[in-house]
Parts: sequence; structure tokens; C-alpha cells
Amino acid sequence: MSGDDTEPEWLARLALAFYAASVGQGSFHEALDLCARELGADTAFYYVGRIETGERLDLHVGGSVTISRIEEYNAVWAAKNPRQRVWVELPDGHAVDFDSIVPAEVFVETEAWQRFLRLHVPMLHAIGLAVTLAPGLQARFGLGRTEASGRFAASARERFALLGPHLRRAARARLKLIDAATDEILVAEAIGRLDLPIARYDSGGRFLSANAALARLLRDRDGLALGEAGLEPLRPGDRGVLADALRSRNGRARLAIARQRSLVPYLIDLAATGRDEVLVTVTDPAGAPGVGQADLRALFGLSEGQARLASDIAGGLSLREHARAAGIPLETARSRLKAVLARTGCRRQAELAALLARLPALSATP
Amino acid sequence: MNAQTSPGTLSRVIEDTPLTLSLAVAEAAFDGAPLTPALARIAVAARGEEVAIVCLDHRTGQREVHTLRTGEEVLATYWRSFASHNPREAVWRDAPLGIPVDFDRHVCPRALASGPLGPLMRRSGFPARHVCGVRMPVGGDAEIRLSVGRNAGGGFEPRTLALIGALAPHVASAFRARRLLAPPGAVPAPLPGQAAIEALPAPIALVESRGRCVLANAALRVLLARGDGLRIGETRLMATDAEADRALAEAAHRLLDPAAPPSVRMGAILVPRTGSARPYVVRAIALGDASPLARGIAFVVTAPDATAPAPEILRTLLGLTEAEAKLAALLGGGATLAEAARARRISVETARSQLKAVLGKTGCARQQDLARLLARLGGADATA
Repeated sequence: MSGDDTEPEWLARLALAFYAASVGQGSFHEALDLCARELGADTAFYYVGRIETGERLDLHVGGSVTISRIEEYNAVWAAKNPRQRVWVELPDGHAVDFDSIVPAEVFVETEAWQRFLRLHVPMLHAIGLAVTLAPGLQARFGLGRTEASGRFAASARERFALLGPHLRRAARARLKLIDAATDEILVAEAIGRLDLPIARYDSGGRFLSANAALARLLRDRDGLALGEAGLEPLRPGDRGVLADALRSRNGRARLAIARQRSLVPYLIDLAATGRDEVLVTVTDPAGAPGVGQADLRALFGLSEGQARLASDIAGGLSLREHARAAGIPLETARSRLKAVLARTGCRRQAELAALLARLPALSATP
Repeated sequence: MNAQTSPGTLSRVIEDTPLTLSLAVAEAAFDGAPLTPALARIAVAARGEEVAIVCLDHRTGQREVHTLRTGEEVLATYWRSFASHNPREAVWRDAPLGIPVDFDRHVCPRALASGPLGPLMRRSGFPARHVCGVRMPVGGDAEIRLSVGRNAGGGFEPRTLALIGALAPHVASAFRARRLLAPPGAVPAPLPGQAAIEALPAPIALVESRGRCVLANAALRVLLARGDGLRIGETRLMATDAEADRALAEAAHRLLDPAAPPSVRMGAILVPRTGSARPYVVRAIALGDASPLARGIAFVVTAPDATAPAPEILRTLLGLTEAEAKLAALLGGGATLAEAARARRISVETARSQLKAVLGKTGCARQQDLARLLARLGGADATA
């Protein structure tokens, strides 16, 4: 090991600022400010660009530029900025002086400069560095100088290039962390928004959480309720059985919880998740179908009258009862039923009722 | 773990500073590379013989140890038999975060060497006679402990304490990254929520706005394995049927559009299957918030096939007799009463009276209600 591989102090300071920002210990704004000061720039930015669509994700700026106009830039001016196209061609980790590709005297003539950049992002002179994060995804760092400050010195671009490996690490780390955070948000939301009633317990049988669908299902407290400690069967005997099942750590188990207002019990399914957790789903086999008339029209192309008939059948009415409720002759109801059976691929009324019972609620998102 | 480099042999043109040392740790940590070279440089600058970084996760009890000289065997012996007798461990626990501590001020080095740790210290030089250290949080219930030790040369000067104090925040950042990017133990464990979705009976795929498929759960993989109309593409659920696939693409695009009103949060698409099976119903549900990096879609699939519930389930859940359960299972599979009677080799009259009993036990007014109930039980059974 020789002394040559000791990074100079300025580089260490900048690199550490980006590293800290990438793990959420500092901000990209501060790191970019620091970078602009160190390399004699007036403005600095960082974003992740999607090459295919030009979409900008995770944008940060430093120096004398405001983020408030960025949407206008993206929507209108990015496509008209000849320097914007340079990014896509940039080799990974390579620092480029934009002035050497689109000279300042050419750039000032462009509409993008005259009508937007000059006023809001006054970087007439620019150097940039791109890092490939994933196929089609590029992290872009840019530094700019105003017309008054003049072009970047060659040494500024060289120093920027030295920062390249550090910016690559920081950008890659940041994206991975964003991915992890995103996964957490999406997974939690997915469980919360599902119409399947779900409760989560830890492997010691302690209640963790329940989703809205479960709270809705157990609103009536008919044999089973949802309390602060989770599922509460109203019969003490059922309570013990559930508690034992939650702690048993067997892969899967199913319990039936008797109700007062229905002969058909609730079904409780337990599954160990392999992450010290037990996933509990509750079903009401006799519950009203979730699928609504609008859903039926959209899914099977039913007319309004046909959708109402299907919905009534799903809800347990006989054809005669439906005809009376809808104020139509039984004959009309019968011909409508025929049409509905044809559209849904069912042979009989009972089959239609069964199909509709298996369909999920589609548009209802309380 | 044992570094062969002796700090004394390193010649450096440029003197290390807290920043250049921090950078060396950060580079190694972000790359998941060995920390030994960086620790060697810290040892020189701190005038220590040993430099250790211990990362403790108080929730899992996991301990990740990086040392310059002390080998794994000595460390294992220390943690097994000596740590509980080391009064410095209590000092660590009470040490304020981010403030360097001179352990010599809390635990007399001479007393330590003549106590229960004496034999290990004399044999291995670990723990060192003189130690200073600093601890920092690194996210979750974890912390890092950065320490410098030496056996010769007496206690540490204030400049060494100042040095490790300056290193601490950067080392903490680096270990945050190391833990998050490459958790020790190779394959990153799925999030608890991911494991929950994996275990769900409903077939689900989650994709995020950049098109990365976050997961396709076990129930969905069963459907996809049928290869009869659905597959998972790079960025979304895809249909073999061209029109359904266009609808899925449309839904994915619309739901990820940040400009879309919040009311447009869901779409449903019928996906035809090969053969005569009923089409899949795919629901696309928008997830996440306004931030483009935290948006996604859940594709939830329903396969509305008629699956006959197992007679066994009907007997235990609904209290049916064996004959009633078998008849009900046939009806649940889509048979008419006459067909079920024929299959059971009983008269339609007998079948009708059994059906009556079943209706009574399930609280159903008519066969249509029973069909609905059995449809649910059949579906639930298929996923159990």
C-alpha cells in the first residue's frame, strides 16, 4: 500500500457527504451544495432518470436553483434541451463537459435556454456524470455555472471524475434502500386494501394487526369480534381453541367458530409465514356476495336490468321475488335470466349464484 | 481476520485525517469488502495496536465483529467465557451515544489484568490493557462500537479520543449501508409483510412503479404454473389473450399515473383461459403514495372455477351426515339434484329429502343459497 491511494481531504469530504445522504444520515441537498462549492459551481443536481420515458425520479438540487419549476421543465423543456440528449449516450461513470458537446454560444440560441433555463436554471455551462443503476435507469449528477461565472476549468471536470466511483456507490445504495422502503410500503398497503379479512399474529400468539376487511366482517360481533387483542371468539371454549392453534406453530390449521345469527360458522384459517408470524384469514361462507351491479356490467357486459337480476340472484332472491321487486313480468325476468346465463357461461340459476359468490368485490374500496 | 500488516511498516506520503479514514471505512462497507485495511490505517493514526468495530443487533442478538489483529478463536473464547466478567461491558452499555469514552477512567487497567480476564489478556493480548471507544446507533435496535486498544504505551491521549469521535458518525453511516445493502447472512430475509402475502390464499403479484416485480405469491405461482392464460412479465401480470393483455397494460399504466384522481384506484379485467374453464378475474389495485418511487400495483387474481367442497369439511363444519355431505358436495360441484341422485345411486325422492335436511342445517331457504355457500366452501377448501 502506498500513500497514493489515500484520497485527498476534499474528495473524502464530498464522498462522505454523499454516502451519508444515501443512507438517510444527511441530505443530498447538503451534499450537492458542498459539491458545488468545492468544484466552483453555482448549481448542482442529482436525479435518477428512466431512459425510456425520460421520467425523473428522486430529484435533488443544490446551489442557486429551485425545484419548484421542475415539473414545467420535465413537461415542456427537457425535450427541447439539446444537452438533455447527451445523458443517454454517456458512458457509465464518465464525466463530461457539456460545453464541449453543445457549446455555450449554440446553447444560448436555443428556445429552452431563452425561455426557461436562463430564468430558472441558469446553468449555461455544465459538467455531468452518469452512473448506470439498472438497465434503463441512470443516476445523473450535474454541476452548472452561470454565464457570469464562465466555463468550468478542465481541472473541475477531472475532480468531478474522481468523485465518480463514490457517486456510483452512493447512488446504487440509495436505490436499493428506496427499493426496500418501497417494498415495505407496498406490502403493507396491499394487505390493508385487500377485501380478504386478514389478521396477523406473532409466533407467540400475540396479535399484531388486522386489516379493514376483517374489521368490517366482524362489525356485528356475531360469535366473533375484533378487539385490541385481536380475534375474540365470544364463546370461552372457542377462545381457548383459537389461542392454542395460534401457538401450535403447525403449518396450517382451520377452525370453525359458531355464530348465533347464522347456522353456518365463520372459518378461521391459520398459516405460519416462516417469519415468526401467523397469518389468519377469516371467511364467512354464508356472507352476502361482494360483487356489485356495476362490476357485473363491466365484467360481463350485462345491461342494467340484467345486472340487477344477477345481483338479486346472488343476494339470494328467487326469480319470482326478483320480478316482483323489479316490477317486471316473470316472463321478462325469465328471458333476462337466460341472457345472463349465456353471458356468464352458466347453465342454471344455482350455478350462477355459485359463480357470483366466488367473485370478489371489485369497485368497493371503502 | 488476522491482519498480517503491521501498522509500523506502512509508509504514507499523505497523512491520514479523520475524513480520509472514514472514507476508507465507507468504501469497504458500501462494497461489502473486508475492513482490515481501513482498520490498519485507523490504528496508525490512533496510535493503537488493535482497532475493533462491533456491530450489535439488540433485537436479534446478532453480533458482527471486525478486528485488526484478534483472531476469531480468541474472540469466540472471549464472548463465550470472559465477556460476562468484563466490567467494561457495563461501561459500554451506559456510554452516551457518539461521545468517546476512555475506559481506563472507568475500569482500572491493572485491576482488570489481575481479575478473571487476566489469563486471556496475557495469552492473546485481548482485550487490550488500555481501551477507548465510542458507540453509535445504526438503525433498528442496532449499534456499532468502535474501539482502539493497546497493551504498551499507557493510556490514550485526548487526540485519539477526538479521532474516534470524529470517525464515529461516518462509520455509523457506513454500517447502516452495510447492514441494509448486504445483511450478514447473504440472502436478504423477506419483509414480514412479504412473508404474510406469500402465505395468503389469494393469488397476488405486487409490482412497483419502476416495473420491478416485488413478489408473486405461492397461490399465484400455482395458477401461473397452469399456463392457461396468465403469466408474470417483467413489469406486470400479462395475459395470453391479446385484448385482455391490452386491458391489463392499460390498467397498470393508468393506476401508476401520478396525475390520476385518487378515485381511480382499481380496475377489473376478465382474462380468458385456454380450454373451457371460466375466465380469471384480475383486479389491479393502486398502492402507495404520491412519491413516484413509492407507488405500485397489486394484481389480485380470482379463479371462479367450481370446485366441489370435500364432504369431510361439510360434515365437520355444517354437521351434515355422511350421506348429506356427499350429496351436497356433488351439488357444490355443479350437479343438478337429478344428476346428484343418479351419481349417488339414490332416488330423486331420497335426494330431495336429504337436500331438505341440508338446507335446514345450513339455514338456506333454497338450493340457490346452498349453491352459494358451497361455492365459498369449495373455494376455501381448494386453497387450504
